[in-house]
Amino acid sequence: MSDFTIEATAVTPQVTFEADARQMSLEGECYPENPMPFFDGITAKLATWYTGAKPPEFVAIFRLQYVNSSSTKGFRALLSMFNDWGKDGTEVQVVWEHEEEDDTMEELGQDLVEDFGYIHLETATF
Amino acid sequence: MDIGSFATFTQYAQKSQVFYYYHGEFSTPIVEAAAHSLKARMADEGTAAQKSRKLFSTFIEMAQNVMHYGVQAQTAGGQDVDAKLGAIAVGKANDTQFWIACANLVAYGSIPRISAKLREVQTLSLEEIKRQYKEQLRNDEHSQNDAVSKGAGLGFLTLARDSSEPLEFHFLSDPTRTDNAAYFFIKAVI
Repeated sequence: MSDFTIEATAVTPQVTFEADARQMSLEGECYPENPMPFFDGITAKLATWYTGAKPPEFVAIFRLQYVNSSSTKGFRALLSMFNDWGKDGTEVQVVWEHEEEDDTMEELGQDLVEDFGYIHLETATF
Repeated sequence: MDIGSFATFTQYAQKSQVFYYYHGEFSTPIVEAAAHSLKARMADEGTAAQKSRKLFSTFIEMAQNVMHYGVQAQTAGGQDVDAKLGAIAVGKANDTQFWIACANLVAYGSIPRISAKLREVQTLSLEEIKRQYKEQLRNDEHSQNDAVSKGAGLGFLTLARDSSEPLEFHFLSDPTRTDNAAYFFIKAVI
């Protein structure tokens, strides 16, 4: 089974991955002082699944209330991996959800995905 | 602190409408607890969501800045104290605005670099801040050299983006220190 759930902590969001649905969701707040262990864990698990599954499509749902500046690099790296999957032939969709009137989070989603041409970005509010 | 000094301290705090003040070790659990207490306070007072978010973000960026870049304090004997020390305070600037200020030790030699970065950020418009932020986000090389970041890092840009006034900063050297460290102060208005 490639499915996994990483429970939320005070400073990291909950991560859920369902291989059958080819869908990952990340929900909550993300502001660890050192974000790399959190992101490296997700990246490693997803990369292993991708290499074996070569899925035709993949959806990543981000529903975040707050991200600190050091975590933005982690999100960037994660999205860069998804973009590579897109390049490789997988249809990649990123759903970036933010709170109403949270311009900062809305703009972060756009900035993060901006030069990743293989990602279809959809934004929504929650 | 004698009781007279404490009385003076509380009067200053009251005058500046300080409602949160912490001085001591900056560690992950302490910063997390402080951030949650600040959030509860904002919710209690019915602070507008956008202002709450900016205040919370500024608090985290300032506190984590101390943890990342602050130099370790030393005892009088020159031994490293295994903790990053600093102070952070939040208060009301007026009926609609908050101020938030942070103090920590930095290496004396890093003062020109930090000053240059902050002076540059002070001159930027909100649009320019956002543009630089976007550029910095793409600059993968930067993350490799983050310990001595070049250009204004994402942290300072995030603070500047959320502050309604240019960031203020100040350095104070202490001739009695033997560890080649100086005090660094930074302030934002939300």
